[in-house]
Amino acid sequence: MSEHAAEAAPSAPGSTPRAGRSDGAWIRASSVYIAFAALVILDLIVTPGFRNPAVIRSLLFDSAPVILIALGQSLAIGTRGIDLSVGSVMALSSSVIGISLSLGQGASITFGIGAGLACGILNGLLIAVLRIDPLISSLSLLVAARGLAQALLGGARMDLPFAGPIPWLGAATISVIPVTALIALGAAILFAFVVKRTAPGHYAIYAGASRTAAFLAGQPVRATLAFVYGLSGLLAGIAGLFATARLGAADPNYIGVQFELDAIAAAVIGGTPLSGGRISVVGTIFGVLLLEVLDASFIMNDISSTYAQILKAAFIVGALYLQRAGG
Amino acid sequence: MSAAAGPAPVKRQAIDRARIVGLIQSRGAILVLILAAIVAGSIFPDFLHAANVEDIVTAGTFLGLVAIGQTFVIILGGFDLSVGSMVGLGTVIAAYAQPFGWVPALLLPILAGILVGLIDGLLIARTRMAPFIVTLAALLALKGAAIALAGESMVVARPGFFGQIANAHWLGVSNLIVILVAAYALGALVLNRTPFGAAIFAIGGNEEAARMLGIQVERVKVLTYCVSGGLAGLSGALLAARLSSGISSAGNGYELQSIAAAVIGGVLLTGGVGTMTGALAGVLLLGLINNVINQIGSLSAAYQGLASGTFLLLAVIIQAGLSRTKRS
Amino acid sequence: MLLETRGLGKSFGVVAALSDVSFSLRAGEVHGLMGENGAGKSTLIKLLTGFHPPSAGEILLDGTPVSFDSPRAAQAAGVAAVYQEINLIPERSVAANIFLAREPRQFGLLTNTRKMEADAAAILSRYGLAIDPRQPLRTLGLGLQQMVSIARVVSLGARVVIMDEPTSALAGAEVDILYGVVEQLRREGRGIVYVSHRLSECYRLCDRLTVLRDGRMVESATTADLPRARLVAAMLGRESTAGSAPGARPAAAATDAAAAAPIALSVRGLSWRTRVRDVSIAVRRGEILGLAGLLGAGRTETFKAIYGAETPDRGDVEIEGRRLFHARPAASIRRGLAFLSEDRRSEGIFPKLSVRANLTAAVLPRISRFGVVSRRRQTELVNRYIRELGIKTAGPEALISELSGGNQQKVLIARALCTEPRVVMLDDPTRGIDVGAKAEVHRTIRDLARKGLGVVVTSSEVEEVLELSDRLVVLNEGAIAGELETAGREPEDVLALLAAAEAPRA
Repeated sequence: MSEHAAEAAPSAPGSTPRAGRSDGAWIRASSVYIAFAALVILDLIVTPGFRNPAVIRSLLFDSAPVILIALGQSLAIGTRGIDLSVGSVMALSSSVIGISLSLGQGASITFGIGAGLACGILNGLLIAVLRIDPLISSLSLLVAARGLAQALLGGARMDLPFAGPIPWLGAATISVIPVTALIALGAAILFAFVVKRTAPGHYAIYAGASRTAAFLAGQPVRATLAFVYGLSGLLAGIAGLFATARLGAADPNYIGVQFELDAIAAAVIGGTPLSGGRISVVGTIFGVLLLEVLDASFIMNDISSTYAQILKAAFIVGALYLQRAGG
Repeated sequence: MSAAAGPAPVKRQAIDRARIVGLIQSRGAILVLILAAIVAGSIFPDFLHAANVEDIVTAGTFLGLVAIGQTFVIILGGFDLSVGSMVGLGTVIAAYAQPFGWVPALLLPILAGILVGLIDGLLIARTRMAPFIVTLAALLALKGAAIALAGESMVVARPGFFGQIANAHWLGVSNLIVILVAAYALGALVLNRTPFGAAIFAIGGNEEAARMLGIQVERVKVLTYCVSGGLAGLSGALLAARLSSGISSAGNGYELQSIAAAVIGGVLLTGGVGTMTGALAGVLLLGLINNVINQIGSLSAAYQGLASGTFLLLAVIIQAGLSRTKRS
Repeated sequence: MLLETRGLGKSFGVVAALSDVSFSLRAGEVHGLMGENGAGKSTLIKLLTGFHPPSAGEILLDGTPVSFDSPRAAQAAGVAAVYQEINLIPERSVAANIFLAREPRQFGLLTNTRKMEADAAAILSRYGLAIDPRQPLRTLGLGLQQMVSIARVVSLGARVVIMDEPTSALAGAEVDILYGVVEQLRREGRGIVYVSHRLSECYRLCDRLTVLRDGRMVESATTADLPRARLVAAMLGRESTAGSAPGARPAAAATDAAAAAPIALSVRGLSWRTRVRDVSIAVRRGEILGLAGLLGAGRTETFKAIYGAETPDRGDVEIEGRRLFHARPAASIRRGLAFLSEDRRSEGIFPKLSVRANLTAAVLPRISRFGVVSRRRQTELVNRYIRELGIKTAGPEALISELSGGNQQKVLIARALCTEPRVVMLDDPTRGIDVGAKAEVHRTIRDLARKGLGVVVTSSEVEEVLELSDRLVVLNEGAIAGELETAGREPEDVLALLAAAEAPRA
């Protein structure tokens, strides 16, 4: 029951299981772990080469950026919002890294992540100050950030040099674990700390549980929303760096395309309800891993990845349907 | 602050301001379109030539048809993100159907689109799942289906009359333009002059009230998504006829561009407000921008996304500001 | 008799919302329906308009028993309601709203807009309404929007028009327009059920008045035969509880002590829209001030304007002599002002969260260092208040939605107390909680005053607020209508004030 700690909103790690929870709710809450375990076992049996360390390495490389944006997404969803812009923000971060390479890789990393943060802050201001619905503001940013990313590089792909910190990030591993995955894990732990133990994280959950009650309790609801979307942008900026490093190129047409969907799917499958007020960090991470293993299973069994897409679509609808059934 | 409680002259002022705001919302895009055309015409001498204008409009037909359905759905208070993939699937279905004649090649994609709309609509209306989730899932599924059917692309065999539909002229005007204008006229008629249109506005304006006033909300929702899917299918069929091929990635991004066009045209993403002329102006404005970017040799096509994104973002911000003014 | 109910009753589960109501309405009559919150008015309306089927009794229209299985069916039979919140489409034209879902057609499919607008204009002018049927509904004031609602149901053939608190949102001139419309409806021989809590209005408009309380009909008489005092007594239920009245409370000593104490909260000239009008009150340390008034008198609005949850248009608020600028609730809390909303479910609790999270929702800055919330101090607070207020819960981690209403309320009181307030405002703190819990909440409130806090409290029951408070301010239509020391007073004295306040204003 270690997952329990991760799901219980502000109320806390190490808490005793709550009274009055039905078995159905327990199954819903742990379905992501069951599904993940079942898929891995199935793969170990039927998929040739699944045990190969190279497969695990590649899987983790792909997962790292998605974990980052899924964390940001889960917090946005926890406030009863959504952030559709994360995929495009990744692309923007990638492009900014590309155009600023001449300033040195360190500087370009800073600028790339900064671009993500800037997008997030803009999104947060649109939502908190102009009170635009998060769905609408982040949809607009989805279009605009992708457009800016393409314009910055003239629509072309830009290859990175073979040496330096960025290519290193794209290849470095400790045993079979990529450095980027370790960083993502570190970020997740930090993120969990922010959400579970700090005031801004608590405020986000309160805002998702009841905006009016939060306002009347004197909480800084709008500042919290700005913070949440800013954080999501920052994480998307880092995710853009990781994806760029892995690809070995800044590519505004390829990086982050439809990643917002994966991020939402991972959060929802992982047990963060779209109705807000709850967030599951560990569940979100396993949601990402589940989706990535699913993709890999199809590819390794030579089944067209388009079927993986269809299955993913079914997963999302199914997970949401389960959430609805649970009220 | 409360104009309602104030004396009469204050109230009149408030109404006038609301009316002006309403006009900017509904007609602003047309004004911007005309200004942009004048500016572009004075800078690029070729811009206003008949051939170039025809290029802009014919190229805009495919997005334009999709934007009609999208406008309906947005006014209803929803989104349809599945339309882009449906265009791609539509081209593929048309390519498969063409050997059996132009009628199935034209009609089957439309029927497929209506079927997709039916499923989307039922899921949204019955289970009350968020429209963007349902249609996003449909986007994935349809894209997968198109690739599974055709791979990247397939040729339309012996296009014949089917090809003519999208390439010939009628009374000197490209068929596509005739179709686009007719579709918008019909769309405006349905939206503004039929009980179905009134029901769409009512649901987008206040769903609970619409239900109370006796509108069959579920049925109207399902029907609206069917309209959107059907138009995306038609757009796909015409695109296949135009290009003589079924391309699974055709229509990629139309879901966002059609939303952008509608919003730029004054259709409120919060639902309940919008016009067909505005949406058409939005489509043409996006087309005009693309055309201008192509005219500036040094600018690459990569700027098109930036331009439409910037316009969309500005439109959303301006609309948020205008709506607030109207309310206060 | 146009409409009649015989022994009408409705139960939801074991709760009887309405029982044995025999109500009648003649053609051309305006029948006032009155009662406080939870009296059963809305249940009666919902039975009459086919929202719910009755559990007992019958409804007769023109002397024939009818049963409506939907609002549509009721409407088709000629019974329709116009609600307080406008249920129309603001962005559409007036004509489109009147004819929505039944537009006149031409060529089979198309709406005949011209006919629709002409018909709308005809209906509107029949009721003396100068409204252009083509203008968007939203450009009209709330009052005129309500008139459009009436025009819609009348054009649908409603012979019984139920108006649910039609004037609660209206400004002066709009009320006169409403009266004109009601007169015209009466002349046309329609029956009107007029639900309102404004006595002066009902006396002016209604031929008969019926009062509901706790789901029963407690009074029904022609307007001329029903004095105001008796009406108010019927609404607030004096005669049934007279025997159990608290009587003389040994409060005199406490009041004397409080009179010397410094002022904790002072409000001067507070106004917010038309809902709060020039309200000035002062509360001393250790004093409990009661706010009394009928439903809609502006109690909640006054609290929210003081607290900064609504931005008042005018007025000053001071806490212990320091001016409070009406920024936000956060600023009020920092200055020592706490507020408990009457709407516990949607403005109080965070239903998905634990008791711990709910209880400490207002004090995170105080129990955090560098933004990190101290779990130790959080636990201390939670345990302390669970103990002090006797909150019955499975533990700090239990979901608040699993607690009883009374215990939820205690958690919210604890949330307010965590902020170490100087003044506490409690809006109907015992609403919807059982008798035992009520007594505990009362004790808690008295303890607060004993500790030197200024307390402002309201209740929907006159006895309760009288029993609790040292001094009582009576509100009417957003303004102060009177004030009295409660020591030695009987509920009748308060009722007299309320009835007098409701006399037509000059």
